[in-house]
Amino acid sequence: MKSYDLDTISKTLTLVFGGDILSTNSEEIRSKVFQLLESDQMRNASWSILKLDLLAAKMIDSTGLNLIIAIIKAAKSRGGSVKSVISSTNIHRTFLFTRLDAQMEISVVNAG
Amino acid sequence: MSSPKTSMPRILVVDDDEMTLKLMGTLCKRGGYDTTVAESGFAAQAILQEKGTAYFEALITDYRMPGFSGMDLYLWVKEQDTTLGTAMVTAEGEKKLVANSMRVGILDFLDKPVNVQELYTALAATVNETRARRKVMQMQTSVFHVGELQNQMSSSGAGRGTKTLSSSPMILMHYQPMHEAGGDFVNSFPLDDETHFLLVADVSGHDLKAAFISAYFQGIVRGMIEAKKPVLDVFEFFNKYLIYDWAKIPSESGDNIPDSLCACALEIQPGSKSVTVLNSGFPTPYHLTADGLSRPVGTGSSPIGWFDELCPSYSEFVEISNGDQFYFWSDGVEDYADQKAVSPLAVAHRILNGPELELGKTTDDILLLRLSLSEPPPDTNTCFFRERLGTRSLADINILQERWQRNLSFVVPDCPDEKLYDFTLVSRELVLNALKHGCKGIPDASVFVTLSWNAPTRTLRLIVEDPGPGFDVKHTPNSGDSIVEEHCGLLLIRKLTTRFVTERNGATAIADFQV
Repeated sequence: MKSYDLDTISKTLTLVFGGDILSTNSEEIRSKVFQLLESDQMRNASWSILKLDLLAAKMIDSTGLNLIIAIIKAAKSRGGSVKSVISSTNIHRTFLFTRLDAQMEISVVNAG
Repeated sequence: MSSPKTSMPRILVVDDDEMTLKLMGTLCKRGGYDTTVAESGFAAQAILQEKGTAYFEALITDYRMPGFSGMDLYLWVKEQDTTLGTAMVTAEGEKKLVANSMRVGILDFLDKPVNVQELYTALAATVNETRARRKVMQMQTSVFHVGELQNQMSSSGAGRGTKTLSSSPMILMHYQPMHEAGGDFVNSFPLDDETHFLLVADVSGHDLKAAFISAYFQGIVRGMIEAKKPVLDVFEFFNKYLIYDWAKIPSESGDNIPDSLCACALEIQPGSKSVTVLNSGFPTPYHLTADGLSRPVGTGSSPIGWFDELCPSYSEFVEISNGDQFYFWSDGVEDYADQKAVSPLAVAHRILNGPELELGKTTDDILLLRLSLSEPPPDTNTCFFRERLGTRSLADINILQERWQRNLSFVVPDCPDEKLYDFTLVSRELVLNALKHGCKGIPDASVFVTLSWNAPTRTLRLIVEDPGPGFDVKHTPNSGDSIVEEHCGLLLIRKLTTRFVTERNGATAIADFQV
């Protein structure tokens, strides 16, 4: 994970991913994401929407998908909803195949 | 090209000024040159046409002459004969002008009035250069003729490109020579009613010596094989010949590099569907099966001419089926594959099966052969990539993935991005699974990744094999409202492939993609 942003007005916590989410880097990303989500600051913050900014990702493999699933579960466990923003049509297809569109709102922008 | 018979070098002196011409002619004769004079560029041209440019060993001409200047004469001579050296006589101020306009070609410039010593120095240098050029040209012509003879002996000789050497067994060859002589060659001939003999070889060097070794080896092979000598005996005989007899001949270059040759011989028996491969230092041939797999055959041994003893263990007997293919290539194919950072199998596949590949100027001869019992059936998946991965490769999965993509894009240049993505994701999933789970607890375990392509049906096949006991492949993850974790990989594989099957209880995974 590259960075995050908490917008208290829209009650949205945005996680920005710097690139692909793959077996080779997902553990590191998982550690950063959950460290953030489980921090006192985020537990006490009043966000209800978790936005996954995946614009920089060109590939997400099964380990990466499992991480996204884990993040969705974590958000839902506190009553939140999840949105994702992607630019890759290929990633969009894999989200549809794995029915992640039923678990989160997916926006495809600047698809190429 | 005939050379002058006299020991006195023959030269042609050209000047439109009568006095200067007379003086120069006299000086040249005194200097020991068999001198012919011409009073104009036209007159010189007529003499050269009559006697031939090879008659002379130097041309010395005035630059400024009316109608047909020294420059015109030089350019005309250059068109007729690139070996005849020319010295130009120029007035003050002309030398720089002429030199700049010509850049190269004129051997010397002499200022007017001509200094006798400078004239002799220029003449000697020009004659020497002409002789050196003619020697090189003679050598090139000899090499060309030897190469032609070598080619006539060899099956690879009838021009470059792809051609069929035999229809039963089916032998297809692609040949792109880079040198006039030496280098790669092929011999293909029926030995008797049951056996076809195929020899592919590559001699070190591309000179007359290499051409001689090549021709001699081909003659020895043909003679000994037809006299029913085993191929191994032929290789051992030639090995001893190169080491003990040939090596005594002093090398012109003075180097101590032994002359050697890499050779691979195949005895093909279509009736019994078998091939015996004997390889001495030639790049490893591959046996490709119709289901898209491949394996190296006849690996490992040194070239003929390196060591006293040839190790006979590289002889390999292979049973083949209809639809199986053997691919062979010389090191030129490997060099080209290195340049493109793809597998030699991918290069071989592309050259023989298309789409057409413009090889351009390669660093070495390109020789490539495909052997099969008959024309491979249209549903044949031809392997173009195979690699063996150890468990340490796990950390390099991103690099491996790029390599698979590169090879696929090389063989299928019009592969859509979407299909490339699907293939990459599936291959990554299968290989990671094989390395993590299939190799678990097995020392020195390896995973084999094989890619094959069927051009008529545009089917890409990926086969991943691990040494493990397999897994429960009947489990089908349900995608739906419940969030599926842990089985995303299998789900993706099934969704992104046209066909996905497993063998050996899942230890071999076969994924097909319609591209």
